[in-house]
Amino acid sequence: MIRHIFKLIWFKRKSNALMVLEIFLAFLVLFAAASFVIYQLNILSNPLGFETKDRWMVSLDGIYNKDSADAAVILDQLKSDLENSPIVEKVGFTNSIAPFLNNSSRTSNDDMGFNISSYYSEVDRGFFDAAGLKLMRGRWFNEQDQLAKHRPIVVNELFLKNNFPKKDMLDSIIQLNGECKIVGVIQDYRYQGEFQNPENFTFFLSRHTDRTNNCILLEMKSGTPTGDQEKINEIIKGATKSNSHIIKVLESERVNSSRGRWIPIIALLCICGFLCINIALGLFGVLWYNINKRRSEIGLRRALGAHNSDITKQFVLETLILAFIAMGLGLIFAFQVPLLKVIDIDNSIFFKAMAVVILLITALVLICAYIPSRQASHIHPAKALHED
Amino acid sequence: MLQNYIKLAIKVLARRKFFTFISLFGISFTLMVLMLIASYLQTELGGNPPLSANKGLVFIPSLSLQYFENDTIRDIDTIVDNGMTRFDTTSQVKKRERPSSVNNSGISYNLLDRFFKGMENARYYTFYSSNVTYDVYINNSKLTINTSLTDDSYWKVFDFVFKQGRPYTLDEVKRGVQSVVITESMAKKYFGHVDNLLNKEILMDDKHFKIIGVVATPSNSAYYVGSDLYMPYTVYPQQGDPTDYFGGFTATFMAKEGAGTEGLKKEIKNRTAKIPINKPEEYNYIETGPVTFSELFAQQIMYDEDPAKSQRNVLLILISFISLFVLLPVLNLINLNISRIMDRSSEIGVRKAFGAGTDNILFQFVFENIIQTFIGGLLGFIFALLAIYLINDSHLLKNIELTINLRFFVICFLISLFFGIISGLLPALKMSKLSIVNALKQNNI
Repeated sequence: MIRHIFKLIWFKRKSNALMVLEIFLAFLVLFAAASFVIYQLNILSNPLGFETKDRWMVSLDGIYNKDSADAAVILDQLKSDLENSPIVEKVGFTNSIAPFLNNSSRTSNDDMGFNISSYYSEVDRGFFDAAGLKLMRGRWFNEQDQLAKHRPIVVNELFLKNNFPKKDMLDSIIQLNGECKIVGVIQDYRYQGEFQNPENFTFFLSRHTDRTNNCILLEMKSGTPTGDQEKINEIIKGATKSNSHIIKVLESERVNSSRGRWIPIIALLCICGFLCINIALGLFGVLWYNINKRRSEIGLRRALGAHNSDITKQFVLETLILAFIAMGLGLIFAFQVPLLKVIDIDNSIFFKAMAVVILLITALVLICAYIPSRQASHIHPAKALHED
Repeated sequence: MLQNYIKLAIKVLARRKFFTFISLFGISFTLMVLMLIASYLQTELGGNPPLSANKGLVFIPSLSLQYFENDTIRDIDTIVDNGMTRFDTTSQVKKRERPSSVNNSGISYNLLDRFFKGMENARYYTFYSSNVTYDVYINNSKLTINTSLTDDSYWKVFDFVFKQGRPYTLDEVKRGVQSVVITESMAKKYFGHVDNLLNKEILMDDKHFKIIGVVATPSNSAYYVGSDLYMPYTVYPQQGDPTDYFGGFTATFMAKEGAGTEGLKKEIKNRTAKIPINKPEEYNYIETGPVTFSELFAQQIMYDEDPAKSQRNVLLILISFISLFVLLPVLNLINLNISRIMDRSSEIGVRKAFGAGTDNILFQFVFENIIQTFIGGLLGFIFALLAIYLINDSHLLKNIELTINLRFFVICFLISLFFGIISGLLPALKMSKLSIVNALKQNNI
């Protein structure tokens, strides 16, 4: 049966070639799109590591330009004023590498014989609660840490996984901007938003009076209306004697920062969906036409005793084989991407994308081939043979 | 004769409605997507105000201070000399290929003022600070105002469309008067209307600013022009260490007419090399990376240190994506047309028997196909207009107002024509070569 079908395909190789080419190209386009979407969804599935619900952030402008003693007084005043406010739960200070600000700093060190690199930020002790970080092991910075001999750091899980796999590094001293002691491990801190690639991350400790701390994270009493920003505004204005600051609601910042990344994904999915419909309709049209042109062949087979289902099977199989030839060709190209490491991302993404696309195209082809073949199989042999 | 062909084409389209639907669906949606892409690129790069001169602009988006560590490489050769071992040591100092620390940030006004003024290849230049934000509270709700602090030549480099009033002058910048230019969208948010706003005041940062101009809101998303409010940079005196190279400013230069941007870029690089290194323990190399507008756009999509490479990559990806995207529906249409055209073999047979040449038949079918794609193109155009309206209305693309103009219309027309010829040629070629006897015989279905 299969050999017979191959023979039939070969006889019509010219018109089949176009169909193979079309499915082949569709495979490549869908493969690229699926890889992109799966890659993005993969990133999205990682935890953000901090809370955005009922969290506001104040960015101060111009604190850094002040004399450090003046800045310390202002920041200290701010901390106590904000903590005394009835709508504020927790207050934390951080430098400008803060949630949704698009800043980042990275440090690297190869003094230990291999390269460690990590993104980092400097925060005060109150930051843990204000940001709602999740501690996995060890502890957060405490009071004694300010005077500790080795600079204390808190790192994320990925940092340990990438740099010190299979070792318990808690309370170890490593080289990173000088000698540092790992005192705790947090889940993560993806401050650029849900679509930020998971990276190595390190928290360094600073005092809240340090003038580099120009961002203040606030945990508000749950359900504080956004209109209350004016109250916070007054407090800050009172302490800094200036108006150059911005209050942001982290929940809406999170949504906004993700929105820009969702647009290309959704646009791509729409375009691919349309391409699929277009290809399916085209395939359906061509198959319907071709099968109808082969009425006499069907009539003959039916007259010789072929069952309805045999006819359907023949046509569906014919189309499926064409589709598999096309997808096989596509796979040869697609496999080059992970093999040659064209794009440096996890290989499993490409394999997942291949599986998804193969399933999708097979399903499309099956549907498009089944309906016209079934119709054709109901042709009455006498009628079909008479027409010829 | 063309009239006949048009009549025929419409008759054929009406005959098999399902197939017509499939063809038109494919054509109109493909063209719609292409038109949307064209509209987007046209809006972002097409040289609309305030970026009419975008082809002649060179930007210095940021300053990069880099530290390259030196490696001392010591080669020790062991030589056996008369039964004694001797060591021959050579050492060389080499700069590492990659910097060990890189600091990127905006540029201080002082640095720009000292080193980038009065360049030979620049017609105008402007130093400005974009996206300084202020919160303003009106009627119990917060309004965040994106502010640009600029000099007076900002208005020469970027040709904003003034709806009311005028830009601030050099004299006003020198005196640091609190006069501002606002966009229409800002006016709508702050005042609720856009009429008669001149000399009205805006209260921001505890200062009263007088409105002297209202400009049309820029339709594209370029960071360098996309503010709500513009004021002389002298309103806020520069704070901080005057010798610091980092600051909040960026610079834009406009090349002399017809001179191109290459000379300007080279001059900026030469001037960068002359900036003294004032903190050798922190950095030993200064980079300004001047980029053209299209390179800047490409870098936002796919960052590469070399702006030309970034532009090439983005172009390559865009072209391959579009060609793949167009190729699929075209193939689909060719497939469909080849099947459909067989319907008309008897018609071709008759025409050929009465003396029509191959080129006549070819022309007829390509022409018919062009008619078909134009109908699809028209539908696609309507869909595209609808989509643009929906996208603009819902502010789906932040800060971008997709635009339609004559150029966009011409692009759409050309896209449709190209599509029609490509998808009609192959089936028509096949059909026109059919021999008369076969054509007349195959009149089933």
